[in-house]
Amino acid sequence: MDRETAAKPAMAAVPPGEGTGATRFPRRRTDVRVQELDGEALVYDATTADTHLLNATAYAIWQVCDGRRDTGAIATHLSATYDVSAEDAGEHVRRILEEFDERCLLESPDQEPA
Amino acid sequence: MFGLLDRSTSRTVTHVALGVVRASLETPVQSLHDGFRRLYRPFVTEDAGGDAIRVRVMPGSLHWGHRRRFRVTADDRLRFEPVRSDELLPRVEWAINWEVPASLPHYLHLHASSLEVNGCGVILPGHSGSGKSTLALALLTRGWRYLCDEFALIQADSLLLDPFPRAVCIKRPGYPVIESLGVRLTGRPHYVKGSKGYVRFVHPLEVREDAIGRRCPVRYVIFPTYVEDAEPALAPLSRAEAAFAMHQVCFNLFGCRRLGLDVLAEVVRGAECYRLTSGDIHRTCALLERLVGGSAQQVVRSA
Repeated sequence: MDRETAAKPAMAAVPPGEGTGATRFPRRRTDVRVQELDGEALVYDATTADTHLLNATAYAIWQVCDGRRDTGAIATHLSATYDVSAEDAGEHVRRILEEFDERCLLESPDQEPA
Repeated sequence: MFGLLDRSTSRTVTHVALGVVRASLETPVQSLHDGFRRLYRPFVTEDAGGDAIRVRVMPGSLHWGHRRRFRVTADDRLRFEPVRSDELLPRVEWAINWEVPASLPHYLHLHASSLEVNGCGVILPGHSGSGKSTLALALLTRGWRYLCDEFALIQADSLLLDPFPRAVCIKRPGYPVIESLGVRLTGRPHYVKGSKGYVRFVHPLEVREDAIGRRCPVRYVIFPTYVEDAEPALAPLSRAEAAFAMHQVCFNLFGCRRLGLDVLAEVVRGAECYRLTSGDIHRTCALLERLVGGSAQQVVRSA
């Protein structure tokens, strides 16, 4: 994710399933424009006029941020789908969800659960 | 020329049709009028039409102790107030550029050089100083066709690239490179373009009679960066990265009739995307010729 999501070092560790606020059962915003390109994506947020570049890992996580899975389930999905260990998947998920949250790309936690 | 005003008080209007961009220049400053007409003689028309960009350059009032300033307006908006007459032509060019996105809202406008080779559109996006104008002129001397050195004009619906054959503005440090390409600069008028310093203009038709490209689909998006003494190299860029980088040099991402991001995504889906490290201009051109499948010059000659 440009604006350096994927390249940044891991954020402070949050154990799977124990995220707070928007990142516990993360749900991607549906009022943003998404253009998928070869497994990566551009996400345009009209409320801020910002465009975000999601690399393949970030986009894979974005797609399963449906508000029904917690961070542990998302990491499990990532590990099962791609050739990545559960530990690495958990690290990616935590780091990227932090980025999504910082960029206000997730529904706020006071939204109705999915 | 420096600081001298023409004595003529009659206003002269010149209309030009530069590809899809129409503009008119109204001024009583005869030297400016002559310079503009000399640059765009093949594109002068009887009438620019109702949607033309209208640039006016008028001498301002003279105040005691102050130098006279000119007033450069575009579509009735004051854009510049230069002092020197050798600043006027670059300011007129600049004023037209400012108005282009507003005058063509059905196009996406990128800060890029754009060329056509063998029916394929090539976009070289980049900020000022990336070397895109020099590269465009160099490729032009090798048979590529010119669309524009400052804009890529992409029709939002058809995604086709259109020509806006403005004159290429060459900054003084680039003179030796351009002359090494066989384009004679000596003897051309010098102008001053703000902080960029001295510049000279070259119109592509002075390089080749068939220099102007035609409407074409975008097939290559190449981001050049000039690095002195570097070995020219191309590095593939993902389409998402390319679209993201293009949106950063888009003049009207939100002023286009379609959402700019959607247009960019569709453009890169049909294109190969690269980052280019350019060094020696001749080797850089040869590298790009290999990329697009052979020398355009050979194709032109055999056509």
